[in-house]
Amino acid sequence: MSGLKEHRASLDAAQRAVLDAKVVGGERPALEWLGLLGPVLAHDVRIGEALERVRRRTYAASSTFVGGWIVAIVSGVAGVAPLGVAAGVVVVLALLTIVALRVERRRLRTQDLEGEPLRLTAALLPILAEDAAPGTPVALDLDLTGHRTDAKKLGKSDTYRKGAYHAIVDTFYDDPFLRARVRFADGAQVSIAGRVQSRVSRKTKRSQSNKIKTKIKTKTRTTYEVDVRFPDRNYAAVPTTSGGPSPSGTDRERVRTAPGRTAVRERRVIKAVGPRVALDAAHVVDLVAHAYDRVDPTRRKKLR
Amino acid sequence: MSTASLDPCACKRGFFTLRDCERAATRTCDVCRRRICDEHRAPRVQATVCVECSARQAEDDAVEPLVRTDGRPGVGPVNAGEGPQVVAPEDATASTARYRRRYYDRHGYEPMWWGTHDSTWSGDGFRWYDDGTDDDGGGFGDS
Ligand SMILES: [Zn+2]
Ligand SMILES: [Zn+2]
Repeated sequence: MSGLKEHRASLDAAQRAVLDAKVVGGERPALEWLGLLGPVLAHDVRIGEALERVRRRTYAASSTFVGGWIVAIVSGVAGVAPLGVAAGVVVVLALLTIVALRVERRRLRTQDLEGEPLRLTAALLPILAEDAAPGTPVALDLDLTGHRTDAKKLGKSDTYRKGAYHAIVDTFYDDPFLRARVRFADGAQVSIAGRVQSRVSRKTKRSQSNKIKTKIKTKTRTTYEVDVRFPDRNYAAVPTTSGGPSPSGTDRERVRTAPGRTAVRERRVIKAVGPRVALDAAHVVDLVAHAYDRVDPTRRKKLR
Repeated sequence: MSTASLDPCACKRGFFTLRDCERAATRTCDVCRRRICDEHRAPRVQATVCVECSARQAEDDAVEPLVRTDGRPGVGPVNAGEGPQVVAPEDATASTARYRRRYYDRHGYEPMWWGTHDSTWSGDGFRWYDDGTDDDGGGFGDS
């Protein structure tokens, strides 16, 4: 598509490598990561827009194809030869357009990234940059290949029946798309993880007219997890709370104290129906904030 | 690590914890009159305003209703678009200052305070170890 090639050419080698490999790994300062990944995200948005244009053109070409057929048949029946020939030409051109758009769609889809994990990470990086210890990198592992690729497949269920459906097969996927680690200026070691688990149910039933009908239903479960290890020299666990649900009620929380540190783990699960998974960095911010709510400062020092 | 300037920036760094910026100040904020560094200047053409004052103004001007997805006050995720957004690295400091202000105000989060006292933050809740003694002024490198 026009513009995509030029935009890709404007990216540097490291950014093009992310587009090709669809995985990101390594250690860099937070804002350096943002400088690397921001333009990659912008490119992925362009790919998404190009795919949408292809989808709309395919729809238009398909409509033209069907319309052309109808005109051709009608003019054939009515014996209006010139119109029939013209309609035939339109049908052929529409078909060629559809084939070309199919090829373009396939090409674009091989370049398309799973954009949401990238967006989540890019939104989070400025916040990590604020709290990161000076000169400390963020260790990042990001998988943008997709939540339900063959590599993410865990397995299939046996065929079972339920309600009107005489055959249901569930396929399970697990995509741990994000792992990030950083040391904050206060000495806290922060780990962030994101994972999307999917269940794709292929359900088959016979309709009243005895036709076989198949429906595909996707359910997803997104888990955000934050681990913070607070050093004893600055923090102690808040005495009253230990374990149990955190303030939001739906989150899971675990507080463990050991010599030298207090470890707090916060977890939030978001369930959704449908293939699309929307991620939000606000969940991660909430979980880190909740972890900090589990400790109190143990000394009065100025932190530089 | 300590690059304490004689004329340090008065803005605070951090999101979950707050500490002094300590970069050398280059100008004075038109609103709070504190001395600030280049990084903590909000991107405005006309005036010199620090990112903290700019964030306060933006939050005061914000009129969108606050509706949280879990319906609880003070905690939990808020509506889409409410979370941190993707920005360019050069806009990260100002953008995060604004999100920080909004997050503190709307979620009731009280950051750990690891900086020097600043009366412009006196209306905010934050946490520090209070044993009645004065700030010993030490850094973390000495422990
Ligand atoms: Zn100011
Ligand atoms: Zn500053």
